[in-house]
Amino acid sequence: MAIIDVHDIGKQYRLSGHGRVSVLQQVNLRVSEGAILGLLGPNGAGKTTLIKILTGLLRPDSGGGTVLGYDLLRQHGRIRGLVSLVAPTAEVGIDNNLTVRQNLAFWAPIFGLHGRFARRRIDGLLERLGLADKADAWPMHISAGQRQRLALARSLLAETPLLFLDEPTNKLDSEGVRSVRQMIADLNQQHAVTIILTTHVMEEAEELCSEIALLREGVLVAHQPTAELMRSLHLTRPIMITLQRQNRDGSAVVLPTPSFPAATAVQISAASASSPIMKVESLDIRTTIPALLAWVREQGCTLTTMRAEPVTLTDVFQALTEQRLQVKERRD
Amino acid sequence: MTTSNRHVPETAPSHGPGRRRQAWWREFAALWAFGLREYRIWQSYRVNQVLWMTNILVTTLLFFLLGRTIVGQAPSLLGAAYGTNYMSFVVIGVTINIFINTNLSDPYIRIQRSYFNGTMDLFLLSPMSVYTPLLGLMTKSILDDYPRLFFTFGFGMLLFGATFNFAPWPLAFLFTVLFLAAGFGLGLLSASLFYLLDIKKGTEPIQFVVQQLLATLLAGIYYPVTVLPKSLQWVACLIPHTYAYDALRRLLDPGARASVAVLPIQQVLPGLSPVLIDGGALLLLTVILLPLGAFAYGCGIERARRNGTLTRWQ
Amino acid sequence: MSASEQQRGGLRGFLRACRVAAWLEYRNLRYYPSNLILAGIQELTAVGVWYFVGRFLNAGVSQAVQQYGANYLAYVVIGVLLNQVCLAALNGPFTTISDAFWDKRLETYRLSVHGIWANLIGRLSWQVLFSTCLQILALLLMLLLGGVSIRVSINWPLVLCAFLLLVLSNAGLGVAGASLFFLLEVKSGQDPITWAYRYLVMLASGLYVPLTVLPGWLRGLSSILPQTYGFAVVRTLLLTGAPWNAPAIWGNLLPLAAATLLTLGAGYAMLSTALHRAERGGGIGVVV
Repeated sequence: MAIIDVHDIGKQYRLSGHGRVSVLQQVNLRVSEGAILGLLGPNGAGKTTLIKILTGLLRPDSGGGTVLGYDLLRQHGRIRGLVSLVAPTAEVGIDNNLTVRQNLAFWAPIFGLHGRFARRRIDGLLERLGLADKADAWPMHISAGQRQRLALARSLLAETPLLFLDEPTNKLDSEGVRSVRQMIADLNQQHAVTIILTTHVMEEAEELCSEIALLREGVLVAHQPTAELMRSLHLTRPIMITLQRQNRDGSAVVLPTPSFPAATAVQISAASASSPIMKVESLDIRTTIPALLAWVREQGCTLTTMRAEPVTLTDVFQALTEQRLQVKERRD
Repeated sequence: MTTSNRHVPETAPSHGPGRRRQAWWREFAALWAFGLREYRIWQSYRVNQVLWMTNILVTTLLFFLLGRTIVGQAPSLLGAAYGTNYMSFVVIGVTINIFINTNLSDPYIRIQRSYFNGTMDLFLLSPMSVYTPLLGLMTKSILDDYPRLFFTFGFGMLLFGATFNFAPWPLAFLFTVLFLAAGFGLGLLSASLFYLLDIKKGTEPIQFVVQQLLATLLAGIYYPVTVLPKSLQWVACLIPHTYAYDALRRLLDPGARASVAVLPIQQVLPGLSPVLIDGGALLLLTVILLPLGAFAYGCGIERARRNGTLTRWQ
Repeated sequence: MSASEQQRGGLRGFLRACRVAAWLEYRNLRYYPSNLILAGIQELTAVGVWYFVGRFLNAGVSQAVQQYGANYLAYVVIGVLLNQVCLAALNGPFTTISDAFWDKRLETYRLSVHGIWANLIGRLSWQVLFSTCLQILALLLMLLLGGVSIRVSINWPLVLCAFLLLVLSNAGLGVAGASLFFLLEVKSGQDPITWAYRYLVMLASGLYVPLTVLPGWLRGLSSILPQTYGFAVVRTLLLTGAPWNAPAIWGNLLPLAAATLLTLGAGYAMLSTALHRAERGGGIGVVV
């Protein structure tokens, strides 16, 4: 079932002088229940605008659809009550006149939590986010990262089925980043929360997201499951290995040029030398490398060095960007 | 992904009395949470309480000293409508002005603060109605300002010779409620301009014109409106403050006479009791301003949703 | 002149820096013309309220202001106009330091030679000048509306002298109050010095209530307030046309001058101490 199903979403903002700037253009997005969607794009791509629209905080100029089964245009109030959001400025909403626990206790009834249930939920969140020992501390006495986690805890009080996270690991140290990523994965896996995540850290998106949507200049240039997206452009990465093998009489062995699964090209240079270098262009190094290693063993060679870099989301994004630029130039 | 704790979203809204009762209960619970929070914050600013008590004491002392110079002439200066005690006259004016300042000026200030400190986004992303955060945030000002009534009256009576007739207190209470409601309507209109006209900083025009300019100069806080030129007296009849001060003084000042017309509108309607005219005017203003303010505020929110100016988060 | 001497610029450099700070305030106000209009209306409203209070109480209180021409309306209006400018001088320093601190500009100013003081004096100068212009406008309005009248032949240099001394004495108190931003960590609202002084002035300086009406204990307090002497001199000059050598003039002008020297000296010393102490404690910038 689609938890988000919107079509032709467009939004323009009026400039302070005159004229309008188009921030989103004909965005179609369908997100299945239980997915973690990575909403990626450079600054100014329209990610925040799209999130605002999907949360009911901003009315689109065109298009429509449903979020959580509610009409985006006519039932935005209901949508707002059923989603949670952690924005980059989230920690600004923390009240410095209340302790960490009191901050959460204030929000609990607003989200419909009362009494013992609210207290248990608050305790659980403080524990999960590593704030249990800071429960009675004042916000100005805890670190920026801890304040960010407090903001996360606030947004998770409500146990909503749809959660928007805008750069949630911003300002966190490595320990904090790890724990928040784990929490995101747990939320999705154990509680079936659908998560829309924006981040500038591509590794984070690759690690966490089941789907990726790429926005550029207000246009949704790609939306696919992560693994499919990584393969879709047929980007290859070189695997460079140095081998060593000699015949019993000390002469070099001539190696045949093999083929490997997911490899598009194999090149052996200095094949007659005692230390040939092999370069394999692979679409998926995780598939190619085992076959490559098996071949090395078969040939009786010694693997001296190996260097391999997988295709990353950054590569995909850059390739898509170049593609768009080329299409644009051709059109112009 | 396990489905044991699957959160099934509501697919369609259901209506009916049970759902409406739940919604009301949720709003009250949210208001209670706000009240508790604002009370905690109010407690941590005890110095503020000393400051405003001093303010009240100094203001009442000031007018007590001035009032001493007109002791014998107070009846003729105040006129038959407002009794003979200038201190009583001023205490009522100062007290009511504190109340109405909360209801009229506070909504805009609260909305502005919550916008800039990022909490407005969070309030709107909750099941609360758009009005509940506004009411909740005003709790602190109410806690701070409303009890000043007791201090103003207390100082006036115990230290500075003010006297009051509390017998008609139910009617005085009714007039006060109507006045506060009309003032809150104006406050909502004022808050709506935050989004309707994008007045995010600086002075908001409605509360400036009504409270800081017209009410301060013309409504008669420290002097009866008869001191003003006739044209300004008519302008004074446009704001609820003038009727509230007039009615409450007639009810609470000993020696005051309810039947003597003072305001121009009372003079052109000689057949009607001035207190009745005051009540009618306050009721009319409440009936117009309160729904208008609520509607305008809702429109402001919706306009901001269209323009993308609802939240500080960009 | 060495490079550092050039950079310092001496008095000229300092004055230039003050002028820039004042000009910046003017530009801010011009950028929001509505604020300019609203500020003007606010000032006029404050005077307007006391104009009508004066009209209401004139018949009763005028006897208590015989030495000022027996016109309470003129008496109170002149006092309020003067006090509005004094309030600008009194509140300005704390607001300047507070705004610069919370805008994270204070450390930047401190890094330059004249920075904080030039910003303080420049901004204060603009605020006082702006308030003075508004009060002159208000006075003209009050003269036109009727009930307020001043003498035709007035010793304007002496009025100006008394006015300047009064404003400077309030500025000194304001600077002393601003020092509490660091000395007592008063980071918002109003500092205790200016807060208390404002109330004392309201009650005991003759601003609203003639001194002859005050009870004994309040009259004792009035002798320590610069406003008491300042109001007396200016009112005497404007409302009675007294000559420059009248006892009522010199009997108030000399204490006012002494009070001005005292408050300016104390204010400078306190704020300098506060800034040094804050720097040693690392508190001149905003700690996040």
